[in-house]
Amino acid sequence: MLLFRSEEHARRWRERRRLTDTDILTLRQAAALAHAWYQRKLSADWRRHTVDEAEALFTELGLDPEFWRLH
Amino acid sequence: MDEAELDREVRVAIARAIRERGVIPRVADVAAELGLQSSSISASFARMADGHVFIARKGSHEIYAYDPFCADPTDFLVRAGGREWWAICGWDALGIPPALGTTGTVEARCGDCEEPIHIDVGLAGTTTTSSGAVLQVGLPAREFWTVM
Repeated sequence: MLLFRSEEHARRWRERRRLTDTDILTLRQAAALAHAWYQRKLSADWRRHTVDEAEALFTELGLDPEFWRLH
Repeated sequence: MDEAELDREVRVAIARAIRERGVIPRVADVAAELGLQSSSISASFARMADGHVFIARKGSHEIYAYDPFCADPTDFLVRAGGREWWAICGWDALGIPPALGTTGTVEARCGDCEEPIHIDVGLAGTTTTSSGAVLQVGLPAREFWTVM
Protein backbone atom coordinates (compact mmCIF):
# COMPACT_ATOMS: atom_id res chain seq x y z
CA MET A 1 0.00 0.00 0.00
CA LEU A 2 2.00 2.87 -1.38
CA LEU A 3 1.59 6.61 -1.11
CA PHE A 4 1.62 8.74 -4.26
CA ARG A 5 1.89 12.46 -4.82
CA SER A 6 -1.42 12.51 -6.66
CA GLU A 7 -4.04 10.30 -8.25
CA GLU A 8 -2.32 10.84 -11.59
CA HIS A 9 0.91 9.37 -10.21
CA ALA A 10 -1.01 6.43 -8.72
CA ARG A 11 -2.73 5.68 -12.04
CA ARG A 12 0.55 5.94 -13.97
CA TRP A 13 2.22 3.46 -11.58
CA ARG A 14 -0.74 1.08 -11.89
CA GLU A 15 -0.74 1.24 -15.69
CA ARG A 16 3.00 0.61 -15.88
CA ARG A 17 2.50 -2.58 -13.88
CA ARG A 18 -0.62 -3.54 -15.82
CA LEU A 19 -2.57 -3.83 -12.55
CA THR A 20 -6.32 -3.65 -12.93
CA ASP A 21 -7.73 -4.45 -9.49
CA THR A 22 -6.50 -1.66 -7.22
CA ASP A 23 -8.21 1.10 -5.29
CA ILE A 24 -7.03 4.66 -4.83
CA LEU A 25 -8.03 6.30 -1.56
CA THR A 26 -7.98 10.00 -0.90
CA LEU A 27 -5.68 10.98 1.93
CA ARG A 28 -8.74 11.80 4.01
CA GLN A 29 -10.15 8.30 3.48
CA ALA A 30 -6.77 6.63 4.11
CA ALA A 31 -6.16 8.57 7.31
CA ALA A 32 -9.68 7.91 8.59
CA LEU A 33 -9.26 4.20 7.83
CA ALA A 34 -5.88 4.06 9.58
CA HIS A 35 -7.26 5.95 12.57
CA ALA A 36 -10.24 3.65 12.96
CA TRP A 37 -8.14 0.55 12.35
CA TYR A 38 -5.30 1.24 14.74
CA GLN A 39 -6.48 3.64 17.43
CA ARG A 40 -7.00 0.78 19.92
CA LYS A 41 -4.08 -1.44 18.89
CA LEU A 42 -2.07 -0.67 22.05
CA SER A 43 -5.09 -0.94 24.36
CA ALA A 44 -5.48 -3.88 26.71
CA ASP A 45 -8.93 -4.59 25.29
CA TRP A 46 -7.82 -4.58 21.64
CA ARG A 47 -9.13 -7.37 19.42
CA ARG A 48 -9.20 -7.95 15.70
CA HIS A 49 -12.10 -6.48 13.78
CA THR A 50 -14.75 -8.95 12.75
CA VAL A 51 -15.63 -9.21 9.06
CA ASP A 52 -18.91 -7.42 9.70
CA GLU A 53 -17.24 -4.61 11.65
CA ALA A 54 -14.61 -4.16 8.95
CA GLU A 55 -17.15 -4.06 6.15
CA ALA A 56 -19.26 -1.57 8.08
CA LEU A 57 -16.21 0.65 8.49
CA PHE A 58 -15.34 0.44 4.79
CA THR A 59 -18.90 1.41 3.92
CA GLU A 60 -18.89 4.30 6.39
CA LEU A 61 -15.72 5.63 4.75
CA GLY A 62 -17.30 5.46 1.31
CA LEU A 63 -14.87 2.88 -0.06
CA ASP A 64 -15.64 0.90 -3.21
CA PRO A 65 -17.96 -1.86 -1.93
CA GLU A 66 -16.83 -4.48 -4.45
CA PHE A 67 -13.11 -3.93 -3.89
CA TRP A 68 -13.55 -3.89 -0.09
CA ARG A 69 -16.02 -6.79 0.10
CA LEU A 70 -14.88 -9.51 2.54
CA HIS A 71 -17.72 -12.04 2.40
CA MET B 1 -2.84 -18.73 34.02
CA ASP B 2 -4.34 -20.30 30.91
CA GLU B 3 -3.12 -19.62 27.37
CA ALA B 4 -5.67 -16.90 26.69
CA GLU B 5 -4.75 -15.06 29.89
CA LEU B 6 -1.05 -15.41 29.16
CA ASP B 7 -1.48 -14.16 25.60
CA ARG B 8 -3.33 -11.12 26.89
CA GLU B 9 -0.59 -10.39 29.42
CA VAL B 10 2.05 -10.76 26.72
CA ARG B 11 0.12 -8.53 24.32
CA VAL B 12 -0.22 -5.86 27.01
CA ALA B 13 3.53 -6.09 27.73
CA ILE B 14 4.32 -5.66 24.04
CA ALA B 15 2.03 -2.63 23.83
CA ARG B 16 3.59 -1.15 26.97
CA ALA B 17 7.09 -1.54 25.55
CA ILE B 18 6.06 0.24 22.38
CA ARG B 19 4.21 3.04 24.14
CA GLU B 20 6.59 3.65 27.05
CA ARG B 21 10.00 2.70 25.65
CA GLY B 22 9.50 3.06 21.93
CA VAL B 23 10.71 -0.45 21.19
CA ILE B 24 9.19 -3.61 19.81
CA PRO B 25 10.26 -6.18 22.38
CA ARG B 26 11.76 -9.59 21.77
CA VAL B 27 10.66 -12.81 23.47
CA ALA B 28 13.48 -12.48 26.00
CA ASP B 29 12.45 -8.91 26.89
CA VAL B 30 8.86 -9.91 27.61
CA ALA B 31 9.95 -13.01 29.54
CA ALA B 32 12.19 -10.87 31.75
CA GLU B 33 9.50 -8.27 32.32
CA LEU B 34 6.83 -10.80 33.26
CA GLY B 35 9.21 -13.10 35.15
CA LEU B 36 8.25 -16.08 33.02
CA GLN B 37 10.24 -18.64 31.06
CA SER B 38 11.19 -17.73 27.50
CA SER B 39 9.65 -20.97 26.26
CA SER B 40 6.21 -19.87 27.53
CA ILE B 41 6.55 -16.44 25.96
CA SER B 42 7.83 -17.90 22.69
CA ALA B 43 4.79 -20.18 22.54
CA SER B 44 2.56 -17.16 23.19
CA PHE B 45 4.29 -15.21 20.43
CA ALA B 46 3.74 -18.16 18.09
CA ARG B 47 0.02 -18.25 18.85
CA MET B 48 -0.29 -14.53 18.28
CA ALA B 49 1.62 -14.69 15.01
CA ASP B 50 -0.68 -17.52 13.88
CA GLY B 51 -3.65 -15.36 14.89
CA HIS B 52 -2.28 -12.42 12.87
CA VAL B 53 -1.89 -10.19 15.92
CA PHE B 54 1.53 -9.40 14.47
CA ILE B 55 3.84 -10.36 11.60
CA ALA B 56 6.70 -12.60 12.72
CA ARG B 57 10.19 -12.62 11.30
CA LYS B 58 10.77 -15.43 8.84
CA GLY B 59 11.75 -18.65 10.59
CA SER B 60 11.14 -17.13 14.01
CA HIS B 61 8.42 -16.10 16.42
CA GLU B 62 10.04 -12.72 17.05
CA ILE B 63 8.08 -9.68 15.91
CA TYR B 64 8.81 -8.09 12.54
CA ALA B 65 5.77 -5.80 12.59
CA TYR B 66 3.34 -5.26 15.40
CA ASP B 67 1.15 -3.35 12.99
CA PRO B 68 1.28 -0.48 12.54
CA PHE B 69 4.79 -0.53 14.06
CA CYS B 70 7.65 -2.18 12.17
CA ALA B 71 10.80 -3.27 14.01
CA ASP B 72 13.15 -2.52 11.10
CA PRO B 73 13.77 0.62 9.03
CA THR B 74 11.51 1.01 6.01
CA ASP B 75 10.64 3.68 3.44
CA PHE B 76 7.85 4.96 5.71
CA LEU B 77 9.25 7.06 8.55
CA VAL B 78 6.87 8.42 11.17
CA ARG B 79 7.64 10.94 13.88
CA ALA B 80 5.19 10.83 16.77
CA GLY B 81 5.24 10.99 20.53
CA GLY B 82 8.79 12.35 20.52
CA ARG B 83 10.16 9.27 18.74
CA GLU B 84 10.83 7.95 15.25
CA TRP B 85 9.00 4.86 14.02
CA TRP B 86 8.81 2.81 10.84
CA ALA B 87 5.81 1.31 9.10
CA ILE B 88 5.61 -1.34 6.41
CA CYS B 89 3.15 0.61 4.23
CA GLY B 90 1.28 3.86 3.85
CA TRP B 91 -1.79 2.62 5.69
CA ASP B 92 0.28 1.62 8.70
CA ALA B 93 2.29 4.86 8.59
CA LEU B 94 -0.92 6.85 8.90
CA GLY B 95 -1.97 4.56 11.77
CA ILE B 96 1.01 5.12 14.05
CA PRO B 97 0.00 8.53 15.48
CA PRO B 98 -3.55 7.33 16.28
CA ALA B 99 -2.20 4.14 17.84
CA LEU B 100 -0.12 6.33 20.14
CA GLY B 101 -3.02 8.72 20.69
CA THR B 102 -1.06 11.68 19.42
CA THR B 103 -0.23 13.74 16.36
CA GLY B 104 2.68 13.00 14.04
CA THR B 105 4.28 13.31 10.65
CA VAL B 106 4.78 10.78 7.88
CA GLU B 107 7.80 11.00 5.58
CA ALA B 108 7.61 8.78 2.51
CA ARG B 109 8.31 8.85 -1.22
CA CYS B 110 5.90 8.73 -4.11
CA GLY B 111 5.62 5.16 -5.40
CA ASP B 112 5.73 6.51 -8.95
CA CYS B 113 8.31 9.32 -9.07
CA GLU B 114 10.01 8.90 -5.67
CA GLU B 115 9.55 12.56 -4.81
CA PRO B 116 9.26 13.10 -1.03
CA ILE B 117 5.80 13.16 0.51
CA HIS B 118 5.26 14.83 3.88
CA ILE B 119 1.99 14.35 5.72
CA ASP B 120 0.95 15.90 9.02
CA VAL B 121 -1.36 13.60 10.94
CA GLY B 122 -3.64 15.31 13.44
CA LEU B 123 -5.91 13.90 16.07
CA ALA B 124 -9.08 12.06 15.03
CA GLY B 125 -7.66 11.01 11.67
CA THR B 126 -7.18 14.43 10.14
CA THR B 127 -4.28 15.08 7.79
CA THR B 128 -2.65 17.88 5.86
CA THR B 129 -0.10 17.63 3.09
CA SER B 130 1.43 19.99 0.58
CA SER B 131 0.58 17.68 -2.32
CA GLY B 132 -2.64 15.88 -3.28
CA ALA B 133 -1.31 12.64 -1.83
CA VAL B 134 -3.31 9.44 -2.20
CA LEU B 135 -2.96 5.84 -1.02
CA GLN B 136 -3.16 3.00 -3.53
CA VAL B 137 -4.21 -0.44 -2.34
CA GLY B 138 -2.91 -3.05 -4.72
CA LEU B 139 -5.08 -6.04 -3.82
CA PRO B 140 -8.81 -6.44 -3.16
CA ALA B 141 -9.50 -6.53 0.57
CA ARG B 142 -10.62 -10.16 0.56
CA GLU B 143 -7.11 -11.15 -0.61
CA PHE B 144 -5.29 -9.55 2.32
CA TRP B 145 -8.03 -9.64 4.96
CA THR B 146 -6.57 -12.63 6.78
CA VAL B 147 -3.40 -10.72 7.63
CA MET B 148 -5.05 -7.39 8.48
